[in-house]
Amino acid sequence: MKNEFFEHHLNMNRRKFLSRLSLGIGSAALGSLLIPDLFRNNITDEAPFVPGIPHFAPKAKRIIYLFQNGAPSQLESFDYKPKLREMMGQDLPASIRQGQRLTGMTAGQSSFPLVGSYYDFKEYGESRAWISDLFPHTAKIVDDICIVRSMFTEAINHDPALTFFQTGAQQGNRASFGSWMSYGLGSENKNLPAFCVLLSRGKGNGQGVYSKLWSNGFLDSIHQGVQFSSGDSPVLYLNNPVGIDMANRRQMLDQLAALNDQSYKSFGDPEINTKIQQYEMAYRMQTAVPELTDLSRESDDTIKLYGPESLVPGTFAANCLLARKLSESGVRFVQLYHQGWDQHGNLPNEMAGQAKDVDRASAALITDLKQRGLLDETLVIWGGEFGRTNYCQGKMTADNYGRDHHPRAFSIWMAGGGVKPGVYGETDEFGYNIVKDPVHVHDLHATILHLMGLDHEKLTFKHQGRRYRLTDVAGKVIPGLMA
Amino acid sequence: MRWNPFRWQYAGNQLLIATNLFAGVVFIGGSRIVVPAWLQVLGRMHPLFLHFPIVLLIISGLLLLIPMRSPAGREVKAQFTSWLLLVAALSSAVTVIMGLLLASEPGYSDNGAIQWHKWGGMAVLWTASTLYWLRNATIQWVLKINAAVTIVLVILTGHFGADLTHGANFVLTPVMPQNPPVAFDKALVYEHLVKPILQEKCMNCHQTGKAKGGLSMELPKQLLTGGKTGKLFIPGNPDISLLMERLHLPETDKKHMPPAGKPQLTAEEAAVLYHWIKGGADFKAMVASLPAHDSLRLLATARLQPAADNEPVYDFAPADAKLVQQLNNNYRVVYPIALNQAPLVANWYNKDKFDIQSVVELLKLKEQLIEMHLQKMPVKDADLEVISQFKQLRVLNLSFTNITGKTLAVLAKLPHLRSLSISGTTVNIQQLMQLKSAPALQALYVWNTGLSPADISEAQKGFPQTTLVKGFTNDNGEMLKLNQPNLVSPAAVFRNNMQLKLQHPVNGVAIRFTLDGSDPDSVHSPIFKDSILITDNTIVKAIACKDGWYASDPLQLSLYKTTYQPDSITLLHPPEGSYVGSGSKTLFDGQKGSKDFGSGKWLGFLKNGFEAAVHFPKQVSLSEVAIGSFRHTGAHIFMPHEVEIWGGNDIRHLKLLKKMVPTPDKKDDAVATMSINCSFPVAEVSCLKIVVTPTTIPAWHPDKGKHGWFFVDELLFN
Repeated sequence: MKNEFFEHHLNMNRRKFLSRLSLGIGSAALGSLLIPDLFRNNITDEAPFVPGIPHFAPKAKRIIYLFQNGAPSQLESFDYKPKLREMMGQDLPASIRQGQRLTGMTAGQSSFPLVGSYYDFKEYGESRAWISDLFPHTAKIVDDICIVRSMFTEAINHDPALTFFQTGAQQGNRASFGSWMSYGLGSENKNLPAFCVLLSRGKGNGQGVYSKLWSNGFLDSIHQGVQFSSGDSPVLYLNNPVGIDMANRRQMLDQLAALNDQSYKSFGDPEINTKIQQYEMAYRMQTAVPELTDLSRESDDTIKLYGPESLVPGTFAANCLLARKLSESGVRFVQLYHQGWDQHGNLPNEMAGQAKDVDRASAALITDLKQRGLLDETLVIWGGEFGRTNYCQGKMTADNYGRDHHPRAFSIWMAGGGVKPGVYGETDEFGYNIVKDPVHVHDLHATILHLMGLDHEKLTFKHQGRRYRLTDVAGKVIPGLMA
Repeated sequence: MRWNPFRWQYAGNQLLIATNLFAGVVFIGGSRIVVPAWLQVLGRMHPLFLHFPIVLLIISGLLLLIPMRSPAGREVKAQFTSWLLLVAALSSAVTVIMGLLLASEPGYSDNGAIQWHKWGGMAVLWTASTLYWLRNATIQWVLKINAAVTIVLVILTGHFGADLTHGANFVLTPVMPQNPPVAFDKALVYEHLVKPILQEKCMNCHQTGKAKGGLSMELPKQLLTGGKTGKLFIPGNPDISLLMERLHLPETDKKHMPPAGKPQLTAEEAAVLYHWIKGGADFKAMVASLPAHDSLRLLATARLQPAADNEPVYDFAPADAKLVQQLNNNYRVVYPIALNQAPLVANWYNKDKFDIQSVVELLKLKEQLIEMHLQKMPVKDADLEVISQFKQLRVLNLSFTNITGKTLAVLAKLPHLRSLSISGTTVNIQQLMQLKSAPALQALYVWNTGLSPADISEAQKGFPQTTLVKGFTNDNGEMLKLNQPNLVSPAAVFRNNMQLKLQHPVNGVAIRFTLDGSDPDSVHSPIFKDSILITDNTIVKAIACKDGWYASDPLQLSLYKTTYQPDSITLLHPPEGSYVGSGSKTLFDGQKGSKDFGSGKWLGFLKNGFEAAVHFPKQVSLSEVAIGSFRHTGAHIFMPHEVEIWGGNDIRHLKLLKKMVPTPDKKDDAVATMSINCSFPVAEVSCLKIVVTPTTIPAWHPDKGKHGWFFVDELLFN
């Protein structure tokens, strides 16, 4: 008898199991209330990302990036270091260098003589920011810009540093900044690409730019940057061939789209759809582009603002003016590159030429955007891929010297949409290390994305089993840069 | 000795009476008793020991309140509670005594929470003792009421005690409504900057209930009065203030405040107090009213929430997302300002596709549209009536549209319109003034309109709330240099004659030119119109001139005449490297090469030299062959070593017409396009052979002895 009872107890059925466990399950559930994301963890991770719409109300809608390719010296532009003039020719103290790595170009130098700016600095604007005499026009707009003196990067040579700035990684094949923007915010104007690239070249020692910098990487190829060239046909292969009119072209595209659609149905490759869309956009660009690149309707005042160079296609000034027009027409990201800033030698001379190329037009762009009410919604960034050393590379004379690459501290400026004008960050009196408010390239990207209404941690794309971000696994938004 | 419960109970009874009396004496004696150091240790164990009576009293109280049915149960319960009550009452007594000893230490005042706690503790002791003595009473309801009262008293007393150690309302704070963080522009110096520091770092010991050193910091009046040692500070003179002295004494000093081991003030917090006292210890001042560079203001900026930025608040419902989607097309984009937000923005593109109907269609979204960007679209005066129906508009861009301003007044009715751009239109000042009544207008873009800068300055007076943006004008009269004119037809080589066309991208530029190689001037040289007829080899120089600008640098063009066009040119050796152009055609395509020698307009020859057979369609009278060549010694491009021209009517039987040796390049010769002109007595020929031997790099060059390149772009036959 006793045994039967015992067995009965052992004969646990489902009802019994569940009813006995109910309290246990209940208390586990109660406990889980205190861990709000206990079961939600994966859900938030998988939350559908909606490309094309900002995550929150943006401060800026569009970006114009005036990239100064080759790395302009911060010490002759925006980071005033009188100490370097005082200590001209003396060796860089080891306590400052702290054994940090140098490029192969100066690592073999027996001494590192400090060299001060050949050009004088003055204070300007409400922020009393020091700006060198090479940038008189930028000095006039100082109260509209935020000079960041505490940028730093990880790469020490041009190509990786440039690639890092443009794609968030030193190796190639990631998506470019502009492509991310196109992916994250979409195109405003369906008659133009969301990401346009304009190149110009100064007379200074130059470094190459390659189309990988405006590549869409793993993103859909519709997000690729489109290069506008100077000359009769700014966008290559856009004009109809001789003997083909618009109606003809339309008919051809319709037929082609039908064929492409067929092959999409059999293969399902999304790139086929992209291709159809690109043909369609190119068709619309045929009318949109000539209107854009026609500068003859600009007023005399506007031309004088940008300077007469703005009428010579292919110059930085002309590209600035074109950038304004593209941006005004809803192009999300206009990327300019001005080459020739790599002053390993002959710096005072070359830098003056480079500054002359860009100073007036950069300032003009800000003024022009402002007078059009567009500066509030456009973010303008000006800067290179790293800075230059405070010591001389090669032979130093009273009026000639060179500077090597310096990734540990350099200056850029930003203006417009949501940027807090003023001066941000500080370097030591040698201009070598950052002493206050460092800004990493990832931080800059995160902050810019934030201004554009995007959470840099949510703007992701899953590729080959991992989610990629522009800021990779780092980056933080810097409130001090934002108004 | 055997265990005798009665004996122990008796002893307990006695002890209870004794401790009751002892507690009573200490309670009455209050602040007058002097506690020896070793007893202080006991007193300080009060917060530890009090947990015993709390638990024991609550258990025994509950036991008394729960009825027992079976007589046996009742018996066991009576036994058990009897003991439990005794231990509970005794532990209460000990706890009370300990508490009273602790309270007699300096710093505990005689009012507030401590007083309630003291009385509460005594009451618990009495009720607990009474409960014990009445435990066998037959009138159950007396016992039960007593038990209930005891439990309530225990809870209340515990609450007041907790207030003393953890601060007032410690338990409920998390669920109490939080004070929202105060924004910079609304903050008071004392209330939101100074007081929170005192509260966090000082008031645990210096409050009304627990005013150590006779100092309470709760109320402004108390702060001004100070404590036993005297006034805390003299407003305006922080350097001789007791408060500052105590804060800045070394931490090891007994008088340093807060005492060692307690959370200390940060340097910043101390600075806040310092500057507040220095500024006169004002209890009412606003942070925002402090001068811009005041230290206290700067400190406040870091500590307070930034002023609430005027993030606009939209109180309308979102539109149907599907409808928004449908209203998007290739030339009109409508999108929400952000994910899950109601306000919409609309942009129009491509002026050829614009029609006011595309604005009318959006009336379905008029409750949500806050921005319309219609710049450069052919919007007409009558269309403003439609636009004025979008009552939610904040931003309206009508720059470079076709409006004349006649109907501008309707826009003044838009209640939220913040920014309006009408630059690049023909609006005049009377029309502009109609916008004066626009209620929310902040920015009005009016440059490049019918308004002169003086008009705008005048109009600005009528717009106290609005900034009129007049844009960049070249006021300081800065003179800029024009860029060079452009050549429209790029061919530099012509047959017989050519119409030369020049142009300049700036409107209203006069192009002045010369054809004789002299520099043109901006007064006398002829002005270019339509075209210039060129009939011979010519050097054209042209400048661009315009009032208010410096004239451009001269554009210099060399135009070459070639009388005879060959049928074909055959290259006996192909061009080398990447300088292959379009093969032999390159030599008579009319295109001169530039200094960009990789442009494809140049053919390059290195080792094999240049040998070309030229055939003319019929016999020609030839007296000159000009070979367009290039010199760039840095790129190893040199004048050739030797040139031979052979001519005749049959390619197999040619005679030498000319043999020449061009001047060798010197070290400092600039990069230049050159022409090697080979003249000879007139010869009737129908075919030619041109042989050019490239030079070896001369001795002055770092790469001396190697082959030099020979570059050719065009062959001219006259």
